[in-house]
Amino acid sequence: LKQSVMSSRQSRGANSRLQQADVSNWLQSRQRPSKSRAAAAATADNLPPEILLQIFRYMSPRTLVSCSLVCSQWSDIAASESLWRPICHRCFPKQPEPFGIELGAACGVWKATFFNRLRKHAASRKYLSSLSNFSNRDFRVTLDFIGSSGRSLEASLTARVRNPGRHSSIVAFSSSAGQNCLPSDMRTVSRIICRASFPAAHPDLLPPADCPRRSVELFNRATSCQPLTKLARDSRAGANDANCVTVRLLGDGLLIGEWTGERDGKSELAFVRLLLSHELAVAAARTAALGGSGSAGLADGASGAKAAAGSSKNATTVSKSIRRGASSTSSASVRSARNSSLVAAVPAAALLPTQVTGLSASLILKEHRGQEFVFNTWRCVDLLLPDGGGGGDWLACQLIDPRQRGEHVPYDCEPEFRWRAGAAGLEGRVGDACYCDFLLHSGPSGAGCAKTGVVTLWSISEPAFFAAASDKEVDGAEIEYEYDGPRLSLSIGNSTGRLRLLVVKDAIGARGYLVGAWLQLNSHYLALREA
Amino acid sequence: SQLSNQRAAMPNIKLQSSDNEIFEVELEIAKQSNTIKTMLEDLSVSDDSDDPVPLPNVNAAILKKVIAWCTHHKDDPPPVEEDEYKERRTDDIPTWDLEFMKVDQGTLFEIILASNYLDIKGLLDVACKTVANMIKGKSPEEIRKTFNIKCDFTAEELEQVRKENEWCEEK
Repeated sequence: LKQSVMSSRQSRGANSRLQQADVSNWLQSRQRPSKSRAAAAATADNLPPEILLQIFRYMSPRTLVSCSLVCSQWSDIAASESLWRPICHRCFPKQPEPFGIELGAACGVWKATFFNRLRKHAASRKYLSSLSNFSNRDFRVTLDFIGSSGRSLEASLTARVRNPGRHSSIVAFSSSAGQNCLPSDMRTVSRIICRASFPAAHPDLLPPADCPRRSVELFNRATSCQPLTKLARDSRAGANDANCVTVRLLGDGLLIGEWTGERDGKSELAFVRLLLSHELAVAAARTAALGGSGSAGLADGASGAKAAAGSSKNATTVSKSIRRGASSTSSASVRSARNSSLVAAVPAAALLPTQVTGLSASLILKEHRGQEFVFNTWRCVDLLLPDGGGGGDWLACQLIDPRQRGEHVPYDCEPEFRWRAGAAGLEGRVGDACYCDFLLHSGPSGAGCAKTGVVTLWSISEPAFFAAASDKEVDGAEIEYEYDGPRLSLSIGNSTGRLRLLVVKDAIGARGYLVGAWLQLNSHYLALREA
Repeated sequence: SQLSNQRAAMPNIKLQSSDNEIFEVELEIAKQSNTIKTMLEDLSVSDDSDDPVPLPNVNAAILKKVIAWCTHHKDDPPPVEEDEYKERRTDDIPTWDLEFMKVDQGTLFEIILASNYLDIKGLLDVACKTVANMIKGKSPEEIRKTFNIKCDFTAEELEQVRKENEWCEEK
């Protein structure tokens, strides 16, 4: 017994010694390599890189830049992707991931991206501040219409900047062309160039070269310019606080306005597009905040769109503007008529970063029995993409309703949107397009009474694009809606038929999804469809 | 067994500094160091082992500071993983920690190295914040002066780096 106790003790003692050795070895193995730790005292000079990185995580971009200039080790570490990526996300929250063009930079992609965006931001700010010289002064916008036959026609507009800088807007247009439609032999316009001629003394008013979206691709269809005057007349002074800077008119009555402005001390860029034609008018507006934590959108392009559509009873106008932020709402108007068109958008971010031409898109309608109808009639309107400033912007595309061309289209089918950028060889899908159909009929308020109502969409993060298309029986449906979160207020004029509300969700980084929608008109549910 | 009960009630651990000084601390306090915690788990050191844990990277003066910090913060909730994208603040250092960090630069960096080695996140964070505060708002030259760092750029390199980091002024 004694022996066994002894041996037990011995083994225990041995065990304990073994443990001691284990502990030392274990701790040794945990030791992180650092430069001659034993010899030199700890200084900022010989901190291990991972610690320096840890310290740099607390730095603002400006301090990081100072750190870059301290010594080569600091310079390398202060350029780390893991530092600049969060900074980019914080400072330019609405802009997409960097891609392509920025990869060639000497320093890290994210640092280069940050500087790239900062430069654009600074250029925009400078541009904005230069606008303040233009309060209530007229400037001219010249339009050169170049026909396919080579004939050109010039028209000019007068516009006035009101309250530039902070709440500026172009408040008036007048055309010098007299008649506001192009001559009949100019119906096929291959190109329209729009220039704003500002007073020579103030060349600053022109956007700087690196201000995003200076040029616009062509749109090669017959043009009706009529809406332009309407726009001029109906544009109400002070009706919105958007800051209009440039306006472009393209073929097919496409008008692109580019708003740059500042609200509540935050600068912003916003884009409004109007497609004006006898059959379709679309305005999509989206804002991209440049710096600042929140982004406020621009106010309505709706008045313009409405005015435009007013010129034509056949027009379908969809205009939308989105404002972010809890308190903001924006308004838009939808007019819908006999010759309906489907409208959708392609995420510009998906096409980063090159200037892409020849983008086409298809609408694929899948019938329940599996038959597919493919329509490749999409046109794309704005193809200068890039990163700068307008991240998350959308390209407006239009599809002329095939029914107008006498093609048979089943109404009850699932739409799917695909796009392809020919030159760049890119293609993709616009994610998760949904639609909801609503039956419109004359009751309960009876024919002739305007109906108002609300469409409620559930569980949707933020629809990237709304469009309304109506069944051909619908006549004169006029929808005005306010976009405020997931609710759309509608007022529908005297109409019967079927209304299709199309919602295209953000294909890039979208999280929410459409669960369903209902339309409530005068307290009566007219339709409910699970999407 | 009486002895082991006693130990279970208030378990202590002995830590041995690089200069062979031994500190006896409560196990719970020592376990704020993830290195020590993991070691105890990995090696399943028995409770009645009286052998000190050698910490060859930490000298007595620093170990004393580290233990003092861990003792004061023993009831802190476990540190949470920070959101990578969130801006990190440096103006939220508690008063006690501010006082604690009022040490010479050498000690501060030793504390950083020790807390890094011992893997004490809270201490490392607060020490890094302290250094970050020393850097904030300073020019490169002032930073070099503060930390006695030698600028190892050649004139051309410096010019190049300056150019790359040129800040576009906002109006």
